[in-house]
Amino acid sequence: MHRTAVAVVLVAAMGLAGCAIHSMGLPPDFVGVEKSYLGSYLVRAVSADGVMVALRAEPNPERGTLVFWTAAITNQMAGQGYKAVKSEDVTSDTGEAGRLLTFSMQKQGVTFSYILAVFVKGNDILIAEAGGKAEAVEPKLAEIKKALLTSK
Amino acid sequence: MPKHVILLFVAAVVAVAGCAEETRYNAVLLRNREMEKAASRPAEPAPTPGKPAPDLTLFKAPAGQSVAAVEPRKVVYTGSFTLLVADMKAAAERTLRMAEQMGGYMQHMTDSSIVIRVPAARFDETVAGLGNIGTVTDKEVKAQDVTEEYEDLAIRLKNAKALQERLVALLAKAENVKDAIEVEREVNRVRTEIEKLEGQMNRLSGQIAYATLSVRFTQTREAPRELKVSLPFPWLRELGLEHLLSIVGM
Repeated sequence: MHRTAVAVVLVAAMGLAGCAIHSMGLPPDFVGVEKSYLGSYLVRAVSADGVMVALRAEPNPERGTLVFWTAAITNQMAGQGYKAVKSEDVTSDTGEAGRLLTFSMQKQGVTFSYILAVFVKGNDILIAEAGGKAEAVEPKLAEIKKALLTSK
Repeated sequence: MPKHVILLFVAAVVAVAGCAEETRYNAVLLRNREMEKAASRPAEPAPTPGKPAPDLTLFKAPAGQSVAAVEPRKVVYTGSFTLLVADMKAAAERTLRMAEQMGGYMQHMTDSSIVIRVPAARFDETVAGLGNIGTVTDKEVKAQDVTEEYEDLAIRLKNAKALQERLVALLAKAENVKDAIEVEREVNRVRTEIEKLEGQMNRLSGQIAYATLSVRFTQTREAPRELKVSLPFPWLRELGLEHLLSIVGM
């Protein structure tokens, strides 16, 4: 199931992203959504209790640095009312330097967690996202982070 | 039968009924005091809200007296809460839905407050549920023991009904219109008293069966937004949980 998901992503990415092929592995017990639910994502998968993981690739023709994009994303989330919890240097499975950002958000008395792994790869920015109710994300956190670092 | 005899009889019946009531009431008080003494502890505190009253059926009665089955205490639970929420209207609606799920109902509602009634057994659960709707910044919970008041009303009602029956029987035996009118007047007085007592019993029973929770909402104040910088990269605005979780209904 995991390999099938990755294969589907590769084919989709080839069609959508032209020459660049981007993919991301899925945490255990996450299921990829149908193409009609991808939206602007290259990968989108969900757990049974509503935690989502997703991968998007955005153009970076002017070669903004990882520092620039990390700061831009952090400021964007702060402006939307997210509370920054953690920011740490990470390395993807393919050796790319990246940044892992963790945020929390309160909505109607419920705490949500939102995690992003940001990588700058050539002319693209890879943003792997994960999020859901904090009580659902917490038990899966290690596996989710591991999956985000498989982005390439 | 002479009029003065009828009147004397009516007066005697009323007096006897009153005495019987007092004797019965005193018996209840005496039983309660003996229960407390036999248990060798101070007056029983009101039970924890939402939990059933302690089982007192195992206490040992004084020698020579039979152990009467002990009814659980009658308690009226009320609570008053202030909740900090982002959206008062949405919070009020969530509170109403929660009350209905608990088997309760809304008694009163405004834009910034709601009074709900839920079965007394679900009081604890409802209080905990309020914590999921917003942040509880103020809380007051009361448990009022109304057992004696309830028993007193029950005894008075029973005695009034017995008196009514006796008067109705007496009315049937009245020998003239004047006597009949006297007894009828007394029957009506007792009937009015019964209706009043039944109303009080119903109100008290309702308060015991259903706890009352008053919730006032206050809105979180957002810090004044600084002038936001908006970078010319539209995809940045697609980041966040609302977009990510849009297909699972955040």
